[in-house]
Amino acid sequence: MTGWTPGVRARCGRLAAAFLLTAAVSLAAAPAAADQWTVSSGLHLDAWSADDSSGQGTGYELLVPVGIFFDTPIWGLSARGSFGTSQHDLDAAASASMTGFTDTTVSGYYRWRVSGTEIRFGLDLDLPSGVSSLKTRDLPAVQDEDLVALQRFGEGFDVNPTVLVYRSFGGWGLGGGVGYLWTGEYDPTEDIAGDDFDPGDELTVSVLGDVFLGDVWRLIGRVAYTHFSTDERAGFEVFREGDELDVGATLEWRPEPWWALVTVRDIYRFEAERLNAAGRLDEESRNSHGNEIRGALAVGYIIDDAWTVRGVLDARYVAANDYATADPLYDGGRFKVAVGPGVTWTLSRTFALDAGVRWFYLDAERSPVFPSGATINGVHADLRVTYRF
Amino acid sequence: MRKVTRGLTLAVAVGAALLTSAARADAQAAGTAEVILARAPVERMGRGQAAAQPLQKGARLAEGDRVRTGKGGAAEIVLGDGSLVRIGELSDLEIDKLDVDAVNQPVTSRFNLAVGQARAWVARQVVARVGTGTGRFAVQSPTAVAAVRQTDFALVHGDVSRVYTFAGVVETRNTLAAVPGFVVCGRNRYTEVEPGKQPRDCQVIPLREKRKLLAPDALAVEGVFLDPNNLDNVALGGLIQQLSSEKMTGTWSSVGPGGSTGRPDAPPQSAGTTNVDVIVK
Repeated sequence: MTGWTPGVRARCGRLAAAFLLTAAVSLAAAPAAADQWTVSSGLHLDAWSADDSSGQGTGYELLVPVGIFFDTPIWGLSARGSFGTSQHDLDAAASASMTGFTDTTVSGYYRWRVSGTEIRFGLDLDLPSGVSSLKTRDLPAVQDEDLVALQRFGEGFDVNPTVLVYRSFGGWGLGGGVGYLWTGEYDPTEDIAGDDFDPGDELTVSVLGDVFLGDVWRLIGRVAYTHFSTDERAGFEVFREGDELDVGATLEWRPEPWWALVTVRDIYRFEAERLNAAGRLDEESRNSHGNEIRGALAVGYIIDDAWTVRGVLDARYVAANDYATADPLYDGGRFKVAVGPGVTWTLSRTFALDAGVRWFYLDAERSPVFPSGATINGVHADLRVTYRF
Repeated sequence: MRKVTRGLTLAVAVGAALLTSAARADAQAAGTAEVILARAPVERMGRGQAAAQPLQKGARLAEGDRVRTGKGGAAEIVLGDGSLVRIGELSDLEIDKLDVDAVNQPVTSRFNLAVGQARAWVARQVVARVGTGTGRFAVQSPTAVAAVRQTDFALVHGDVSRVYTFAGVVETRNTLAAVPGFVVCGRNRYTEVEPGKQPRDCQVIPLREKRKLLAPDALAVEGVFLDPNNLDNVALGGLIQQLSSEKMTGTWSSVGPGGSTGRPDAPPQSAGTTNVDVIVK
């Protein structure tokens, strides 16, 4: 770990500024309305098994999330975190696992309306309460994003201020926002010295518009652009993620008691920067990210005031990247589909229970993550209990 | 919001619950309603008082109290069984009756809406008592009457009366005995009644109209969580998801497209039936 360096002082300054801003948001707000507390918890399970030829074996992740929220009509605070375990049993290696708390996200917001325009200031703090330093043999417990909900339980101290604006013009609305994520440094390994990692910061600008089409149709479109700054390892620049363009649209059909949502999303990432032979960051010769397309279909039926059932179909396709097949950075792409039912039981205005399960199939071509490629079957299951008072 | 004419009276009779909504119910005193939201301009005029006073959150209202809102004002009150009444802008609501039983649970509550707009959400547990005849939930005025059980609905009275049902089932009829027939509208439907005519068939509430009806200046409930509510929050939620939730570890969501994008810069290592009678002369 680093000592008392200018970087540490800067982080401490950010921490102090973040707390001061949070306090200012809390104190400046003068709630003239009810105080609503919400407590949420439950279970989340991911479990999967890969084909024998992939050598990926099996894995699972079990998380118990806990969240507490305090909301008024104009400001709110929340804290969310989890306790869980993640285990990956590779075919030709010892079992890798991590167990413990995840990072805790503390958030606050302040919102008000000016001449019909909604303005929302938000501040998120990711407190490094989670397991971040793993033994080298347990690193495989950091599983792929398509297999488990949470890859790393813990990272550094992050600060994410956001400003959002939205205005409705009756039949349509327009909004936008900007956020800057300061990412903190953390030690990813317990038994390797001098490998502290500081992910690059993220600046995201997003624009959203929605329009009602007829009596029961609504179309929401959004575009977001994210710029990443440089990753550092042990204080040295090692990588810069390429900027990301995220374009999506959601079509909602809501005559009720039936409702349906169709979402399509395209994520394009530009060339990243990697260390060249001279040890300097340089734009990579080919794009290491293939274009990504996501789609989702959800159909629900509101049986009565207490029960709602739904079916969900998710799909994700990532094209092969631009590197030659013989290159170590070659990624052949992947396709994932997940499908399953869900149910929501609303006992009263203050208590609700939601459960859902999705079976998924992942076909991953050869890549640095899956050296032999893999076909994987698994499930994602959720149980969530919410109580308001 | 449709222009609301004077003379519409809203009277609500609330049956007490077999099961109480613990937190809210505990907070209630006998024969009073608690103000959980008061957004200026909003004032309270007590029975027999000549001058009005600004209404404050936390105030307890009793029989005879009137709540009046100006442009942009709003108020929300909670009854002992957890039922909610929201008063939109430019409205005048009088608490006509607040009866409680031996265990201080509301038996009959009645409100007179002289002008403006109001939304009522009736706690589900009231249904049991309504079913046994020991409680009821009704809306009544010189020109319109609605009796409800377990529902969430709004009344808007302009040149015609419209009854919007957000949850439960609502039965609407004309008050004139000479006008036969009624309609029963379910969730997300509305009906319209012209003076001297039968109610029209139920129609889906157009999303555009629903957004206007559930705007913060109108009948979006702000004091507590209630669904459906302000439709603008759906769009705002999309921005929050992209700029906040997807960035933070503690806000992870179940994996799948549309959920978390994952950090790309990670280290490169491996109901029951409701009966509502709306009568318009």
